[in-house]
Amino acid sequence: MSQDTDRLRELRYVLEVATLAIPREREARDRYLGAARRAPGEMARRIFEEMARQEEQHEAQLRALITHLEEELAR
Amino acid sequence: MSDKTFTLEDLTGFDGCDGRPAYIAVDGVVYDATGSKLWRGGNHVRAHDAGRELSREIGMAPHPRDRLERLPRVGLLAAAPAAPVVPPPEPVPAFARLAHALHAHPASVHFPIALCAVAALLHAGGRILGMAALETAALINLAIGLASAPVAILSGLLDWRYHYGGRLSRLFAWKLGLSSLLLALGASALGLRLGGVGPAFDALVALHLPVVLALGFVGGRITFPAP
Repeated sequence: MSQDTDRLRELRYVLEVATLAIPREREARDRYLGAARRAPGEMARRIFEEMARQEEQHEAQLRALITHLEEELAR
Repeated sequence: MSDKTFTLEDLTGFDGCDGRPAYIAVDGVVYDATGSKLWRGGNHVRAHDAGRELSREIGMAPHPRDRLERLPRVGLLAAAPAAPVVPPPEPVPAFARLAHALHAHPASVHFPIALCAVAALLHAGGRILGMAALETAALINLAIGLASAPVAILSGLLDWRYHYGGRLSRLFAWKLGLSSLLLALGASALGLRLGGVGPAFDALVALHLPVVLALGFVGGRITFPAP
């Protein structure tokens, strides 16, 4: 019983961490894309675009994780 | 080109250390960097190790991607395990995007928090020192703080619904509960004030201080998550 409660608490904690992280990833992506558009050189543009792509991937990973955690919590 | 297929685990055995070959994988192709002066000891510019998949890293390199074609190809990288299903992002309505872009919640939330805290302190000071002017100032602060609370709550609800997925986690439950409590406290205090100042009014105004401090703490935990 106690183990179940601990597990539920951990699931909810991780779900909250993932939920709070998503807006941060989106904001970082938008900031990097904005910087890429204004970048004075090819190298800076490519680096910012790559970083924006990574943030998008992070957000997608978080969304996949949230779906998984919500399924776990619903069981 | 060899047809040999490497898994990511296989690749780790070709790290260029202790006389082992230095292989790297980019875009599904495995290259042999052993003979390259730029990959001595299985490391490139002290930043990238051999024995790894480096497609992402090469996107950030100062040299073009096709520089790799100077290295011999030794095989292909086996397809990675199937990626987890990623649900598409929920569309955000224009009004919620605008509110977020204008930072409507962080800009408005400080009004009820600051004004209600100041109201509690001024009222306590006025009662202790017997200064009616302080009590009047407290009442004005309380009224403006209460009037600004719905804007802060509405913009917070929009952010919660569209940027945090509307999930009622522990922190958001606290935020919603404390916001509702603040509204109830403020409305009750102003309602009581119509009948004059008394101990119940004093208590309700004083309670604003811990409630807004708790709200500020929870808001801080959401915006700047603690480890």
